[in-house]
Amino acid sequence: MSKKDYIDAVNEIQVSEKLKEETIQKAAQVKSKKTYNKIYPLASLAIMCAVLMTIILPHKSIAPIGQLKDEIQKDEAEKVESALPKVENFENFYAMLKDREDNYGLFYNTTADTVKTESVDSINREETSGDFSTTNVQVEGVDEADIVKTDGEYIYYIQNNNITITDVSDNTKMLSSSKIEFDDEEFNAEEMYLNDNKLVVIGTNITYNVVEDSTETKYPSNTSYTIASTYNVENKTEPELERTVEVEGYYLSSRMIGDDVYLVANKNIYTYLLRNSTCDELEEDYFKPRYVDTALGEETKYINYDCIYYIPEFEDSSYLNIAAFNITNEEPANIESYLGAGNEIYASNTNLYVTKGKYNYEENGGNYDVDTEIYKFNLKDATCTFEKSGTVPGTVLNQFSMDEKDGYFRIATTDSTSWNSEDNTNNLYVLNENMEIVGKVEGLAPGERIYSVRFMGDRAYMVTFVQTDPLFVIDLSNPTNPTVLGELKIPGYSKYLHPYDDTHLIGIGEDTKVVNYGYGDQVVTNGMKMALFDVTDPNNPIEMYNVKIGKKGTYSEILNNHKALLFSKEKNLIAFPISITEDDYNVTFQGAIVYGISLDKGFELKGKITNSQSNIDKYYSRNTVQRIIYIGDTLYTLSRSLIKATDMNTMETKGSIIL
Amino acid sequence: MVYINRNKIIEETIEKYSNMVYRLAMARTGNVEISEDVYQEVFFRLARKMPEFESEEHKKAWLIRVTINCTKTILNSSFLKHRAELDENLKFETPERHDVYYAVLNLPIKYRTVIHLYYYEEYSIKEISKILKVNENTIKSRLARARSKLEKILEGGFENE
Repeated sequence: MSKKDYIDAVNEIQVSEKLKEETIQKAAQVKSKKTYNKIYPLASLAIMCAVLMTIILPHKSIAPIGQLKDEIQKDEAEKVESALPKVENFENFYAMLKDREDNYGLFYNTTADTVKTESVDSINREETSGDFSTTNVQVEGVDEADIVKTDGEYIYYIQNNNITITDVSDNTKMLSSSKIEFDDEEFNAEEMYLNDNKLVVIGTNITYNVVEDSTETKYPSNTSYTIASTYNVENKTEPELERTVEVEGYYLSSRMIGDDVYLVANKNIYTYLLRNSTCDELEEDYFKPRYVDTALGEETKYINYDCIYYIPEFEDSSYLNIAAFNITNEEPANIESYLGAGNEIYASNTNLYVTKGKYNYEENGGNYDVDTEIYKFNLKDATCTFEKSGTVPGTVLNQFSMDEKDGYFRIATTDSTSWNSEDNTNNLYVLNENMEIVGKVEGLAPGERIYSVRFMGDRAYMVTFVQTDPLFVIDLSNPTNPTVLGELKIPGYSKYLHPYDDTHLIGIGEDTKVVNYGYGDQVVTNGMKMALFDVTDPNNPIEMYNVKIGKKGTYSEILNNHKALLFSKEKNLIAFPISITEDDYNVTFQGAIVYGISLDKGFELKGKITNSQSNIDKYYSRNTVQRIIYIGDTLYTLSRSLIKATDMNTMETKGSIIL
Repeated sequence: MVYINRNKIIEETIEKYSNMVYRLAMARTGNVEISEDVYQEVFFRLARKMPEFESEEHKKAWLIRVTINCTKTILNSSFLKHRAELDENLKFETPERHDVYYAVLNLPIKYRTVIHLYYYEEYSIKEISKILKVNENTIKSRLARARSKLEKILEGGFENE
């Protein structure tokens, strides 16, 4: 017997292919600090659902459980007047979850698929007070968190789970003011807000546990918190932690309106514990959502069942937790907890809309019907109150699929009745304040799906795609009668639409070509493409200019995250981080690409800025430019290794600082 | 290390280090179920953090450290303290392999970790000390004690070929 036997024995220990595949699938959906390709979560959701379809027998929509039946029905009837019903006690909680568990089984963790997205609106957002860029947000006045923020003198940047504060008042000699370090290995700083002298860092903390049910079967159980830490950064060399608000759940998204922060988190409920246990055997507190607000003390608090609402007909065994607080005072945070879940959020200045996809399968399996439920919450003075819910057919792409104007909520969806995309249709719905559909356009671009949407005032622009990209112009001036005015078909598609002015639109996406390798026509991407559209005549949208960048494999975060865009109409500037791939998948450039933009000349390449020192350096993620911002006439490119200053006019390097 | 496509990197990493992570988790826990949980958690952490690795060696060491941390957390969790039992019926092709594997599993956890990293992953004492953040002499003595324990259990000891 020898060490060789040990080695041989260990070699026999193998991970099952099933676990490996599952891990690859799930890991692709784990949210990291960076936001990447959104196709993956969609694809894996599709796979998951496809798997479910083969596993689960078709079932009807859930019937409310016996003892609660009357109560629920009464509440449904009164929904317009009353707020949501409350769970009231653990016995009800147990009964409701158990019921859904029995009916829905494998659905218990669908919220794990949520993709973080944020929202942006119609109005052309120009820079506010000083001469510096701000995060590209959807709705003016509704701030969105990002990994970089600036006040014109200092740059705050989340880098390697630290926040570096850099004095850039002299761009040839940038100085490090301080660094906020998170010692806690489990804390991940995700993004932040800067508001006057307050820096609000949003992060997540996930701890890994094991729980067991009454039969002593063990299950993994992640406890995750979404955390907002408010720092006073009046003294840049000594940021001072003022307050921390933690709410249980995975971070979905957040917004800041004025001095109020709204955090949205999803918490999974581990229903497998309910499976083999009776109500009496379980610890009540274990299932309650938890939170910490240092304004009230350091201890963890529980939200009691008599304070937890439930969204009637909720399907997911999860909580939707919303925390709201004002960063300038010590008023206790308002924490609302709902049995339910969210996928995407959109926030206007006064309302928050949370959407949730809902699949109804036909009895015979195969086909299904998908709807999106929309929960509307009123936002006011750091409180968040449930108002109404509504339902539209189809699924939403992201926050840009939604908009609110003059009390009307508008939403674009792709509807399908099977996994065959040929059945796809694309629709737009207008809902009134009571979340009732008052107007709609349905059946656009059959067989295609939505790639991007942008609402601008009384119009919506929608891009769908299969082989060519129709850009639809939809008139919404009459909410009850939305009308398609025009469409433009061009190769490729836009993944993001940004207003240039009231009558012009920038589309950033991918160029495509049709190839045939011997088994039918296929559409493949062929580098990135940026275009400027003239929509002055809504009946005849025109592509005025376009520019193509790189070959297949070229990628920019802008394709999936609007916050990566730097645009200023006044400065004739459009720029974003990019990695350019030429033939043979060789990455030839990683950095930021900077264009001039004007209606006379279209796009003019001003230059490319890299944070890599040498050719080989570009392969290191620490040199990957994550954002480009400007202050005055200086562009700053940020990578985890470096902040670099470049003159906007001459494109000459002015200075840099190693982080 | 091109981080251009995150999911591709995750997939490649899982393909490459699947067995390494799983085998280490097994060496530390001796329990298939727990090892599978640890295995997933390790790669989820990778996906969550996407740490920047200086080299392939760095990546491997990171995965080992995270695997060790995850097993530590799970074994320390109050629910499991007394229940993390060895799986009795792991199958091996030869009785020798079976006996030697179980002999190692029956050592205290810190000994079998060192044994596994030294003999199976072929790390030097110096490297193990770096990975585990434990000083070299401690590693040396753990290894020596582990060997002498194995010698008592196994016919002919562990070291010979």
